[in-house]
Amino acid sequence: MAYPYCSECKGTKAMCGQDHCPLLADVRGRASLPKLSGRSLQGPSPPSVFVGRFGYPRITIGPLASPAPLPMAERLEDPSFLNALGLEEVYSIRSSLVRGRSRLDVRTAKADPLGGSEPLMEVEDRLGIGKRRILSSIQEMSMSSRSMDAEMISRKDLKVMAPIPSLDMIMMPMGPSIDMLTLKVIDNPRIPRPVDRAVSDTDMIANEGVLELYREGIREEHISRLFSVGLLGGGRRRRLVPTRWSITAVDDTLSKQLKERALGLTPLDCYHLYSCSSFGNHFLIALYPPPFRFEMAEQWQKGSLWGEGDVIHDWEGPRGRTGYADAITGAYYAARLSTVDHLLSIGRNAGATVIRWITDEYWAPLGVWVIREALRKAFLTPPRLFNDRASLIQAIDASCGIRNWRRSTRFLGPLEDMTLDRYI
Amino acid sequence: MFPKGTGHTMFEITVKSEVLRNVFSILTPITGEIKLVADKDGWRVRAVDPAHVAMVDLELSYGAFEDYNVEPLELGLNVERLLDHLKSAKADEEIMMKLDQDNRMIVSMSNLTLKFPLVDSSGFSDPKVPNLSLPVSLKLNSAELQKGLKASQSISDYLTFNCTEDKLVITSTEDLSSMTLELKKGSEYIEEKFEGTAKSSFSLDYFSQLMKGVGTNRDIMLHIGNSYPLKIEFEFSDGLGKVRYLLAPRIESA
Repeated sequence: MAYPYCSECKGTKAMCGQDHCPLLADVRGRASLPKLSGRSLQGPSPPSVFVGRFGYPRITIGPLASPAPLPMAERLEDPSFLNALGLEEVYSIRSSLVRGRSRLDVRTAKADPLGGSEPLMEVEDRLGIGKRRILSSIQEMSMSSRSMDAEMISRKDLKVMAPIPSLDMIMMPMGPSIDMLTLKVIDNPRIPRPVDRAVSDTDMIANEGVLELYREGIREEHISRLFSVGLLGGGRRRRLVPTRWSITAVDDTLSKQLKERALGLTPLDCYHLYSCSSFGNHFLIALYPPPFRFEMAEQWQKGSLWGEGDVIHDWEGPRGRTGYADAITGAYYAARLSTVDHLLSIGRNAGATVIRWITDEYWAPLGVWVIREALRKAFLTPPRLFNDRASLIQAIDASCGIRNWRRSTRFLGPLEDMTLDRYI
Repeated sequence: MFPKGTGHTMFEITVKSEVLRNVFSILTPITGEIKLVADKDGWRVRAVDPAHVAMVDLELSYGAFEDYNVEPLELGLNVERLLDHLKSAKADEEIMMKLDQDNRMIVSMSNLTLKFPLVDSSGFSDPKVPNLSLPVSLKLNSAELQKGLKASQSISDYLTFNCTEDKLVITSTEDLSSMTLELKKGSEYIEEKFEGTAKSSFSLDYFSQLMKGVGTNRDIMLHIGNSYPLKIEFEFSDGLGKVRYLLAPRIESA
C-alpha cells in the first residue's frame, strides 16, 4: 500500500509511522540472495565499501564482497556498465555483494601526520588492534581502482545471518550484511596517482580534494568512497562519513564549485530541450538564457516504487541555495552536477529545469547514479533548439509525462529572470 | 592605466571605522571580493554579483577620510573578511589602512594590527553599467520598505512594484496568499519625477540583500521603470559617499 506522501519520504522519514518501510521490504523480498555457510567469506570486491548512518557517530563500516567468483567484479560499481543492464539484473547482481559490518567511531579516521594529539589518542586507545586493522584494510581497498579479493571472518555461522539486502534511493543496492570480526585484503590495490596524491595531502581541505580528483578524471563513485572512509580533507578533520551522505556531499560540492565557473561563460542565447529515459525514469531538461538557476520537479507515478505521488519540487535562484533539497533529496544534487558539467562542456552559462517522472518499470531504487548517468546520456544527443521561450514551453507541454508541470516551475512560469547584461 | 599595485605604491589612509563599515556592508550584498580603484579624489568600486543580476557603483570622496595619502592604484580586497574584522571596532574608532613593501594590506585599529595579502584583481572585469532612463523617481525612507519585505518572505519569491500617479503599491503573491504594501505620495514618499505609470517585478531574495546594504533607516531614491531594472540611490557619511544599486527585473513573458 502506497500513500501519497511515500514519494516524499522515500523510505527515510517514517511518515506512515512504520519503522521499516513496507514498500522497500516488498522489494527486498524479490532479491535473489547469495547462499552463505561457515564463518568466513572470501571473494572479490569491486572494490566497494559501505558506511552506515545509524548510531552516528558510532557507525558500522565494512567492505562489500561476493562469496562467489565474479569475472567482472570490477564493474559492479561502474555506472556506465550497470546502465547497460536491465533493472532486474542490476538489482540481483548488486544483491550478491555481501556487506561486512564492524562498529567504529567516525573520528577514528583522523589522520595526524605529526601524531600526539590528545583527542586522537583517546579514540585510538579505545580501539583494539583488530579494529585498527579493519579500518586500514577498508581504506586500502577504497583507494584501489581494480577489484580486490577480501576475506571476512565472522563470529557466528553466516548461514544464520538474516538475509536482508540494503536498499536506498541514494546508494547502489547491496546484499545481506554480516558481522565482521576480522578483514583481510588478499590482493594488492592499484591506486591511481591522483588518488594517492589527494589521500596523502593532509593539508588540503576536502572540497579542494574532491574537485581535484574529479578534474583528474576519477569517477564520483571512487571519490565518494574515499570521502566516506575518511581519506580526504585536512588530517585532523578527517571523519568516516555515512555512504548516503558522502554521495550527496560529493555531488553538492562538485556542482557548487563547477557552477562558479559556469557563471563566467558566454550566456546561452537560445533554448535547449533534451530528453532521455533510463530504468523507467523519464527526463526532460530545458536550458535557457542566464542568470544561472536550477530547479527540478519530479513525480512518482502509478506502479512506480512509491506509488502515485504529488509533484515535488526543489529549486535555487542565481544566489544558490543554503538548505538541503528536502523534497527531492540526493537526486537533486546528482542532476545539478550533470547539468553544470554539461554547461562547462558547451561553454555556456544558462538556467536549467529538470523534469523527472518515474513509471512502473522503476520498482527498485538503484541509487542517484541513475539520474547522473541518464542526464549525461541525454546531453550526448543534440538538443531540440528554440528561439523563444514560448516554443520551448509548448514543446515541454507536448512531451512531458507530468500533467500540470507548469504549476511546479519557478523559472518557466509567467515571470522570466533577466540579467543586467541585457540592458547594456 | 593605473599601476596594478605592483612595486611600492603609496596607499595610506586613516578613517573612522563607521565609514569603512558603511562601505563594506554596502558592497558585501553584491560580492565578497572587490576591486577598489583609488586616486587622489577618493575611492570608487564597481561590482556585479556573480550571476549578473545586481550591481553596485560606489564612490567615496577623500573628504570622508581623516587622513588620505594615495597614489592612483587598483586593489583587490576581500570585503567580507574586512567587514568581519571591523565588527570589533567602535563606531568612532580610527582605522589605519596601509600598503606595505610586500604589497600586503595592513589594517590597524587601536592596539590591533592585521596584515593580509591582496586578492588578485587581474581577473576582475570592469562591469559595464547599463544606462537607464526610468520614468519614475521617488524619495523615501528605507524603513517604509522593510516591513513589506519582512511580510513577503513567507509568501513568495518576488515583489512587484506598481507606481501610479498618487501611490506606490508593492505586492507579492503566490497561490492564495498575498502581501500588499501601499505607500502614498506626500505622506510616505516624495515624488521627484513622474512621466507615467511604472510596473516591474524583482527577485525578493536579491531585493532583500540590497536592502541589507541600504540599512534600516536611510533616505533613498527609488527609480522604477516598466519591466525594467530598478535603481536605488543613496548617500552615506554626510553625502561624501554615494551609492547606486541596480537590480535586473523578472519580466512577464509573452
